[in-house]
Amino acid sequence: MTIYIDTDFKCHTNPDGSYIAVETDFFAGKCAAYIEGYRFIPAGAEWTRPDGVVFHGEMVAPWKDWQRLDDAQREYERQLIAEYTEALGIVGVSV
Amino acid sequence: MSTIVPMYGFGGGGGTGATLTVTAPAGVTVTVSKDGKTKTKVAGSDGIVVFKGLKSGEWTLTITDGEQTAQKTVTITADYTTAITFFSAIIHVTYPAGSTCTATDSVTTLTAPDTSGVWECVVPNSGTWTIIDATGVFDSVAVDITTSGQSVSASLGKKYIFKAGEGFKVLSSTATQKNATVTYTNESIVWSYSGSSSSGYQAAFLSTDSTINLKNFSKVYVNANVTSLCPQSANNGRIEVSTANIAEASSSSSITSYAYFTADSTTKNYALDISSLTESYYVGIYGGLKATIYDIWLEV
Repeated sequence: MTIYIDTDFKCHTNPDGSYIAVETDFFAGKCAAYIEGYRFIPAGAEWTRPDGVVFHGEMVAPWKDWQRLDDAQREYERQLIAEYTEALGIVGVSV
Repeated sequence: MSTIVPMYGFGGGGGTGATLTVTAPAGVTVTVSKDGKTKTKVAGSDGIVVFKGLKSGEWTLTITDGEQTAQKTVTITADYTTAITFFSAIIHVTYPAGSTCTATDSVTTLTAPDTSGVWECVVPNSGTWTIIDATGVFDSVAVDITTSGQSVSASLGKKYIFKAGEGFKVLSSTATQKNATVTYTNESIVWSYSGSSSSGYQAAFLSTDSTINLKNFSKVYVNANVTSLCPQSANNGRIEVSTANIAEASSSSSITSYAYFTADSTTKNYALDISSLTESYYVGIYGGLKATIYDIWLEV
């Protein structure tokens, strides 16, 4: 899938004209809230954390508390299941 | 060095003064002086010298054996006990603020006066001093003190999973698929793969057996010399932090973060940012690579 990274390597799910498009399988099936809590440093690039530590790509790591991202992803999956269940009910399939 | 001691009942001009008990090397001459007034005694075999009737204020305590001299200042406001030796070395300790830090040579244990994260630890004798984080979150650090006047630095804030010369410090397991091997000694972990595009390239795995709470750490480091990466990009070697045991159940859904190795045949540190991982996770290595791994550790 395609994601977009800004100059701070933070991920976005939609382009804004200045973001760089990146192909990765890491976020397959993940919701926008999960993806946008991550930083993606492509191979060959490096990111310097505010404390001066340098990280080299390819690295993928959350910049938001991962537990909150996981909560958002789980809620997203619950909603998907509910939507699928409802859709199946409409066409007469019970689960 | 200056020490302030409260002297209850000996303020102003009243009372008979305070008692200063000094522990010093046996046989040395011990002197206390203040405002031109001096008292001198010789320490007995037990090294104990007692001075009575000292007025409140700043006293200079001196010991000499004729060849060497040591001195310290004591501010007396009540009865007080102090120790003085000819030996003095400083360990400049940095440790995570908020932790309680101690230094011990198994006989004497010194404790940092606060939890600020910085401690000028003055040790009274030579030997191996071990700097310890009382919470046990961080690995202790051993410092060899050999001479008086020595000044060295020591820093707490790491937790090793594998350390060259010591082997695994956190219980971990490895697993391999066809055409991949992982062997290890206390010195290093040797990681390899073989195969071809027709026979297939497979991965090896290394994981802590249990999760580690990462809230006190902000990066994972691996010191390694990587000579080759598996041609199949999906199997390229990487540092991983996962919600599942990497050696047993690695899958993309359980991986919270990763950082790839690069193959340049130089021994260097590879880093993964874990500053936003505040719970407990498995830490490990995944993939097909030819490498010698020397250290794996977490750091504040």
